[in-house]
Amino acid sequence: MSERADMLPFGSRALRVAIIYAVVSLLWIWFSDQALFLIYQDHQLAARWSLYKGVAFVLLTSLLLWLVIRREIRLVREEKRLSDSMIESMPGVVYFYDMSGRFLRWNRNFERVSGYSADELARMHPLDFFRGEDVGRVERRIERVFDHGESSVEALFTNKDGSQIPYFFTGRRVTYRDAPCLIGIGIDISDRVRMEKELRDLNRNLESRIAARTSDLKEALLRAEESDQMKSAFLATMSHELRTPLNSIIGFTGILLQDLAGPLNDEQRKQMGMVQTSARHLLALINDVLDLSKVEAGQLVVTPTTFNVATLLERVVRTVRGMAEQQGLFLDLEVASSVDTITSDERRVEQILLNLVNNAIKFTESGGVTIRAAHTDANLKISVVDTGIGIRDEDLRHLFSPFVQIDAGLSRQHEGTGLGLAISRKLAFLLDGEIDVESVFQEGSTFTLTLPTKCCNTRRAG
Amino acid sequence: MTPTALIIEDNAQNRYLATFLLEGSGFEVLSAVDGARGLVLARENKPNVILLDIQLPGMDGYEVARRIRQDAMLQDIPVIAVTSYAMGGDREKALGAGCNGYLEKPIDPETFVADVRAFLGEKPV
Repeated sequence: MSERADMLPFGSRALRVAIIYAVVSLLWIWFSDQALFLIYQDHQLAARWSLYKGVAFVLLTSLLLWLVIRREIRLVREEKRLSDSMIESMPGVVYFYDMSGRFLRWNRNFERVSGYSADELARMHPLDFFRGEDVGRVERRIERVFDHGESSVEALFTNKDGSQIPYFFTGRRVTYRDAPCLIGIGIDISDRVRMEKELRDLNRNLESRIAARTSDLKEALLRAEESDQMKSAFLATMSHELRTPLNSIIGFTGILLQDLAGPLNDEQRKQMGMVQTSARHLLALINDVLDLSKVEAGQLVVTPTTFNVATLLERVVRTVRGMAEQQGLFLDLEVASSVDTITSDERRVEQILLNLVNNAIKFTESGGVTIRAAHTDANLKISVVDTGIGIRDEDLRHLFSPFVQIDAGLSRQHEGTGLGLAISRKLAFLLDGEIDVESVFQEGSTFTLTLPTKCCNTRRAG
Repeated sequence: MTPTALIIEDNAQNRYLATFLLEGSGFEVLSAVDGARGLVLARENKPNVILLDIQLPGMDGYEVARRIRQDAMLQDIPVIAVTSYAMGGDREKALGAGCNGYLEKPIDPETFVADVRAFLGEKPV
């Protein structure tokens, strides 16, 4: 509430009381005198009574005045006591000074916190409590209070012994005895400042720990990548070294079996056939290990082209048909009419499908294998459904691990490198696709290759 | 006319294997154990096809291929890289170095000669 708004009704009320008093008094004096002259014809008697009346009037109004003034003084005292106790009960320092910076009032807290006595404070200037760059800042804010009515500032409050405490000050302009003055409160914010500092320190600490940990991890990652690449380079070299002698073994076995070096007898032919089978199996293993190491070394580059899915599937079927027929199995191909072309790495898709279909034939004793292709949204799904031995639930999750062939009893019977599914899955990931498997033990399995119809940003495997 | 093949290969058994298969199919076969000797033989004999191992002692197969392509006498001869290198990009590297084709080891004795014949008379890339 502004003082001016408060003053007006009060002022008019005082004026009204005074006017009413003057009118009533004048009317009383005039009418009472008239009455006295009517009652007492004798002028002397009337004059005496008029004197008594006058004295009584003065005494009465004096009594009234005394009562009114006493009440006002009490009210003012109470008001002062109230404001004093309010000021004293404030948690911070409270002060009041005029435009020249002369302190007019302050609370005891101010003396206690600053360490100065009341006499000293009365001679001090508000800026005496600040040091360094705070002086300018506080001065600007004080000017702002006198110019704009209020302002606040955080600064270090310097007390008599030189120690400094962080304070938050708010100031407000008030008019006191017709002059602008500043009434302000200062609150100790040591706790907040300390907590902020702790928080900052904690953050910095955390940041440096994170940075340290990040660099540790980076280093570990680098080491892991290096060791991964060394491992892959080693595997590649190994594969190369292993393939060189195999070139001789497979080559000369082939020459002998073709009778190019002269005729073989039946026993020799049978044994050379065994050598050839073993050598080819060894070669398949080496190729698979090499493939896996290539994917893991990130050296396998995806080369996307747009190709016809049905054509690819027919080629796959042609490749494995002989094998299926040998085992007396049917081999069906069902391509939905919506299936057209996709963009992917044709050679890799073929490799995955050959692996899945080969597996299906290998693990099926009766019945057969159906290959189904259909579109779902932006994906192509190719399912290889067999009526084979199926997979137990507990074996499903190991299925894609390298060198795992489920059911040891059957593995000897179903020869393979044990790397096919691991490679296929990695290749599928590389093509932004995936391989899922569903199976009922002893009833059959369904392996589904899902591929995006548009793949891929040419990138390396990781 | 009897076609002549030059085999540049450091491994004696592999040299013998390829020689045996090609001679059995009516090729005349020359062989060299490294790139330098291979280039000399090529210049002296102008073979109809060169079978080139990539991992050779000293000058590697890529370098040999590049030199053949830069040699006015040899640049028309088809060159087939025969290698057990099989890491990503090997095929591209071999073709980039100037080879016309790429056969992976181990070679298949049943198809090897036919594969080589397919390159005879082919113009280099």
